Amino acid sequence: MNFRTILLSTLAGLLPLAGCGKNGPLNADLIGDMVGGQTGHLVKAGGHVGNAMAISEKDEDALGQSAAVALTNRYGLYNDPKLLKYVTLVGLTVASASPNPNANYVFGILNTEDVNAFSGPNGYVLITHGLVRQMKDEAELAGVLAHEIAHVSNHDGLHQVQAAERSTAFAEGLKATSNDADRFGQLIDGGVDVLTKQAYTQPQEFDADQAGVRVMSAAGYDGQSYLNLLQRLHTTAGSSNNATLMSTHPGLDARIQRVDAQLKGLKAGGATLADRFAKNAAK
Amino acid sequence: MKLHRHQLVLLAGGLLGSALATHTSTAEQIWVKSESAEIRSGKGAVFPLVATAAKGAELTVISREPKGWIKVKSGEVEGYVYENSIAAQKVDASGNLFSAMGAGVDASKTTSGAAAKGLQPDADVYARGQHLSTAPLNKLIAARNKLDPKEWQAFTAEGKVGPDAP
Repeated sequence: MNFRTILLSTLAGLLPLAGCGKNGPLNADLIGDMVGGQTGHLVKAGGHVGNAMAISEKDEDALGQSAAVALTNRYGLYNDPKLLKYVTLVGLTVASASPNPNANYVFGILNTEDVNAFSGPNGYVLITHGLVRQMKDEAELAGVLAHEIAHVSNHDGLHQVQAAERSTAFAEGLKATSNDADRFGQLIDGGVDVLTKQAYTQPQEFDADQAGVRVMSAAGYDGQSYLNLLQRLHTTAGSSNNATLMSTHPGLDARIQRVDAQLKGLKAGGATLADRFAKNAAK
Repeated sequence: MKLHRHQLVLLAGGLLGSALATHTSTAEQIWVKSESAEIRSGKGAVFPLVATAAKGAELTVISREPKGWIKVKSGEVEGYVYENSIAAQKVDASGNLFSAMGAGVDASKTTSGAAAKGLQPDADVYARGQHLSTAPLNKLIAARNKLDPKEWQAFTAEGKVGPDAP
């Protein structure tokens, strides 16, 4: 199974998740689709699923959990209870200042050194250990988690699956069945496939960046740290073997520019908590 | 001024009626507008779930709290909901059998002390269908539910971050 980045869609190309499962590594074409905000392999044409049953808000928990099952099986969990508790504490802190502070938040760290993060509907937030290793203070972690929580608040995952459901390709992928339970199961299967293979659109990413910075600032963190992280990852990408991939998805530049402009309109300062981060996330 | 007996009765009746009217008007009712709403023991996702209210469920407001939290009651259930899942007007929940039956607030599916929902049956079906293990996700849910809200409160206070950040 391929893996789709959600947090930093452009960053997937920086350090793509190589050797991914039975379908092989994340490929440049897919990354190009992702970053360009275009539809992925499953969504190729208009049309509608020829059945009234469809994924809706009430299914977000099942969808988010199923996607989390898929990803935690794919990568395994990074075994560091202290770090997991720390990520959870920071995640709940930014969630408390978000527009959706009462969701069913569950946080996890995936056991891979690739740089990535994921948010599933209704609050299932997973980040890779590789991304944590790129961070220098707690505010950077807060920024990433706030970005993911913004996707949750915006119901971006649900909307993405619903958009895919309206496609002919998705409908064709459903096996003929008159059994509602079987059909619903197929919808969940297809939904997880969408969530783990396709990126959010660039407008969704811009929105999540803006909302994430607002939320982390409201929680008392310094928004500048999120910009610092994006810039560091951009620099790392430029010096890595993945520079070619970066040329196919220059979206990070635009995101950095927008976050930079947003920060100029916000009150400067806030907590960075580098010492607490170092204490809990020692490399 | 001396009052006759019938005047006293009328006065008492009037006071009683006034008291009842006052009582009725202060019992604010609200309805769940999202597909479901978590009712928690405290104001935040870190606090344990006490019940889940279905779309259309009617809740009685006990108090309006700062930052969008509302303390509510429904039958024996009492806790906090967040304003983004609540409407001031009755919500049409036709098609929602649970609410249509007049219940709507279910405490039976919450695990005592748990802040995160356990594995949903549909996710379990997905895992079995794909031959995947639910153990890693269950481990994360368990770790999440082990977190003491007081520890989180101390964490936010120490860092001067969180909902009460300056």
